Amino acid sequence: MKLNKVLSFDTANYLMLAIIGLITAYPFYYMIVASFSEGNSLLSHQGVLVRPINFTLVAYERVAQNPRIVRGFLNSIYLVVTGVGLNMTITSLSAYALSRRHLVGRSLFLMFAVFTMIFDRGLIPLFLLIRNLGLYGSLWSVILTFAVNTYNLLIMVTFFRNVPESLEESAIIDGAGHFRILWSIFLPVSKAVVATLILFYAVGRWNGFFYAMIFLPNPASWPISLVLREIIIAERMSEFLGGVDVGDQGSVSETIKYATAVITTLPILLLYPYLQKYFARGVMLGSIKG
Amino acid sequence: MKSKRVKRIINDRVLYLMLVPFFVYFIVFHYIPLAGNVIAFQRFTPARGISESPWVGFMYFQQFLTSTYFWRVLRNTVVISLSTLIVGFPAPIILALMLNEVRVNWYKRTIQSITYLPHFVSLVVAVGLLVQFSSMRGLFNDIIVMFGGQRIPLLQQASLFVPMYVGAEVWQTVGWGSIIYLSALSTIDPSLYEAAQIDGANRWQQMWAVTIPSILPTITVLFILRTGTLLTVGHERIILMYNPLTYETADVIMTFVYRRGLIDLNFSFSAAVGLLNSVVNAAIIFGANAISRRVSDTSLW
Repeated sequence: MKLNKVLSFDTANYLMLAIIGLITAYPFYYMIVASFSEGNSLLSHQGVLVRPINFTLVAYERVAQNPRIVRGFLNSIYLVVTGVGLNMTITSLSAYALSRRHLVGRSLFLMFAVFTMIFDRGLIPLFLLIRNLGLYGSLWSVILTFAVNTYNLLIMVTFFRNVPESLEESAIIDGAGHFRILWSIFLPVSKAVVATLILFYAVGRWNGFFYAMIFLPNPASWPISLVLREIIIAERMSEFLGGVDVGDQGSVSETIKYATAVITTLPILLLYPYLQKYFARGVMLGSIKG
Repeated sequence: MKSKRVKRIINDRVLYLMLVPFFVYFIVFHYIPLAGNVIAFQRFTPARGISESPWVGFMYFQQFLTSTYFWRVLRNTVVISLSTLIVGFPAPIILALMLNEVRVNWYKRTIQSITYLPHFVSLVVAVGLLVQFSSMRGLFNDIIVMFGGQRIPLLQQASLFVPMYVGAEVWQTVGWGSIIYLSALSTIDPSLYEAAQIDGANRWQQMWAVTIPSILPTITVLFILRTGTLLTVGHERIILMYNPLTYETADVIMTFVYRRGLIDLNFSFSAAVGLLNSVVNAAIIFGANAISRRVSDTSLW
């Protein structure tokens, strides 16, 4: 009797979790399977998709040949590499200075940053600023608008504050300056938090589309997320991609959507083991306050 | 005393030098736009600029508050936000409790890995898949037909927008949201469970008597802080999901600001709506934070 009850509690729980897992995973599975399917068969298919229908790589061939999609992918890589480089440079320099307890004005400066988290700067004034700075249409508009994330900065300040002072003191005795101490002591001992923040910033940069959408009128400078929006959500595939032949437009354009979604998600999937490890740590770091 | 301070500042000049990019960024990209909100009180045109545009006082605020759009966007913002709160707040708690009961480690890790994944995936991919599944030939309509219904374009129904939005939001955030509760659960003293078992409590009773009370402080704090974002909804997701057919239930304050300002180019009107939203949001966050500090000694700052 008792054993029976325990079993049913566990069985129900395991079963429900399995269903939750299926509901979460299926859309990704579908996306991958659909991208390898033949367009017309996919369109006429109903219900759950288990494996590719009439396996073909044609969608990926089209994606690889399409200048807009390739350009979008390269733009996103550029955005992540330069953007995260800038993010980490400014964040670590600021976090180092702001974590020095003797710095006059330290808490005032922190409040200066935290205030921007509470009071939103406003979409319209930001847009007008970007235009006045001559950044409208340039990828740098997006890069510079998010040069520092205050939340990430606070995580790093908290972490740097806990670096043992003895390490710093011995470096000062050796005649090292602040830049040197940051580079050869603070960053190496904070590898975990550095990795966490790089991933935080990189995922945000890779996935972002909203500010690219408002700052970049020219599709040639769009990141891949915005290209994907145009073909899958705005449904402007044929105008946008141009090169799709009229004859097979319906069928191939359907699978190109999925193939583009797959390559947009691919970097995230490849990094996923690291993301899981470091992000979870980041959530915990964020909950500790300095 | 004063000279000592000045001396310290001079001594730390390299540290201030390190903060130069910090100040440049926050002043240029946050405080200048913040000041740029003065255009809300002007009949602003880019050609005339802030210095040449005529002042109109609260005209645009009045225009917004008396328009029919005011009630629509306010109602939609509150409805979407509250619905997300009601479904989205307990969901990660329940998931964490379920995961916590799993004794088979690989199973727990697998479910965790799967449910965290959507958090990292682009909103465009997530909404893109939703759009595909909701289309006339999509999976959702296949299911509707299976149960004897008629195919309908799901994302073009104003009456379905809120549930679709909430479903998509919860789908993408529930796993990740459970992490903080799982870590709270991991700190529970195992002897509490042993004591409960000796008292004859079964698994279900143990959960109510030990597990939930133990994570109640975490739940309280997160709930209060969550109310601070009451008028903030995921407008980026909405912009991807909505269309003119669903504006009636989908258009929220921020999507309205975006359309009026950046598509219709009514800069001043739109800035006024945005500023009003920022002020109210800041007030709510302050309020929630003050309550949190009083109730639990935990606050955002």
